Amino acid sequence: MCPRLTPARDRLRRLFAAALGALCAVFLTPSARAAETIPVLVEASAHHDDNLGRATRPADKRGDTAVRLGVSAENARVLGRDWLLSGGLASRGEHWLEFERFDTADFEARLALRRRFGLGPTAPALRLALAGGPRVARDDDRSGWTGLASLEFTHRPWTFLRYTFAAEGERIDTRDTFYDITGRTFSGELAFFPSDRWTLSTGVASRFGNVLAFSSPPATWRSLTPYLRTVPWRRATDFFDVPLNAYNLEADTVEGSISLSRALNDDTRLTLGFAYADTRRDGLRYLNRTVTAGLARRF
Amino acid sequence: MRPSVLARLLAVLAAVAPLPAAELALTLTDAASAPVVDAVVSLHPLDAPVPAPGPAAEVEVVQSDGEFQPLVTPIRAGTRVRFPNADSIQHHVYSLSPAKRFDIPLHGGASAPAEEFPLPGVVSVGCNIHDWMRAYVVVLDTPWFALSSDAGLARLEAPAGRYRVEIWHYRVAKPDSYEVTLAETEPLAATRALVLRRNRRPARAPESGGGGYR
Repeated sequence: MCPRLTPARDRLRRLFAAALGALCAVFLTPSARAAETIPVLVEASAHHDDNLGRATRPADKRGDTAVRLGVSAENARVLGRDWLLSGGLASRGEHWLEFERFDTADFEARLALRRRFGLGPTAPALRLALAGGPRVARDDDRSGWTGLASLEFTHRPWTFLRYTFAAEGERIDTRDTFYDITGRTFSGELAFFPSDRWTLSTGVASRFGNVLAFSSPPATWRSLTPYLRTVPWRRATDFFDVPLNAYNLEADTVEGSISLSRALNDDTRLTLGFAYADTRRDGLRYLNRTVTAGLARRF
Repeated sequence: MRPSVLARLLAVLAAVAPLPAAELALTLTDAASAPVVDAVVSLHPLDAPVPAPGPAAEVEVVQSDGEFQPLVTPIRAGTRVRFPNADSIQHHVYSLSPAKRFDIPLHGGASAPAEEFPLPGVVSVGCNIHDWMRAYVVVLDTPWFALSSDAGLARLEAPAGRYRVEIWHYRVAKPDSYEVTLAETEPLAATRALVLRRNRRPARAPESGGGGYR
């Protein structure tokens, strides 16, 4: 199937081109040509989701574990006493051990502008970030473009405590528009640093936007919940070991998360995290528990 | 009766000649008896004036491999400190300490001018781009000071007399202080235990998800 060029996709492509152009400006300034070393971050993680398909019925629930590998390079330019522009390129692959049709690979350009209200780590900071790029999915209909814009306020009033508030908008524009995703998220995070090695973080997030949910084909039309009867997007899929219908619906998600990380040395960090997400819409409720273990290493 | 020429000469010599040197060898440990490195030990005379400083000296605190080298630099008040950047990335050196406030933005290479540190006190230096980077310039109003070695040993030489010993370390809540009398006959060796707080400087290790420049 040939990709359909929707206005949204066109906008994302323009965003990506603009971000990439700005990145080139960042990296190709005169000081960058003076053999500047740009650190590369490699992240590997295992991630388990106990309800990958966001099913409501126990018989439809499928848990799976993904392995993720990401590589990113980022650099920064001081624009003035309080302004910092950072940019980079990233790629990330995700492979689900059992349900491979969910596999994806993302390539992303990132650009962020930070304004610090003062000097040093305890100064409050605002950060506007843009990211976007192509996505390649094993299921070709889910390939496309991703775009993300976020505004983040961070403050570390003491060296042992940091809080963050963020607003984020995301758009995933896929080859088959059935899988398009739009969402906006408001989140808060509190990070505690008992020492220069350990970090304990906890966060809450509220998201409104599209989610994909899967369930057994209904025995009868009437067996659908009243809301699902109004959802125009549904499709029979073979993503799982049994045929399940996919629904693209708008829903509210509240997520709580906690993570513990330890710096193994100056360039390596190990992180363990747990998240609990509760997604609801008109009588439907999807629960997801996810556990993540990851290792980040800077070269 | 007028003093003889010889008596006057002896008095002048006594005033200008250096006093016999005495030595203090102080070993610093933490609560677990491990050596405390990079502590600054200084001697402040109680019965004699502090000698006037000589010509202003200049020292360097280099940014190398994303760290300040050295971590702790004790200097006499009036010394000038240069902050050359030996890295191939930008740094933005600053201090918010009352004893010396400054910032050197857009700092690349060794072109930044030296900063003078005229007031005694501890000056905490950081980089506004790389939050984990830390250095301490300890400005002292005495010429007798030393930095503790890897073995926790600080060795000082000063004229015999009574002194207040001050011990500073970036992980002590309050500098340690006590009196000592140094005699020229034999070095005074002592051990001092310090109570160190946890090291809470921002970690250098990367956070997951990238976005390192927060």
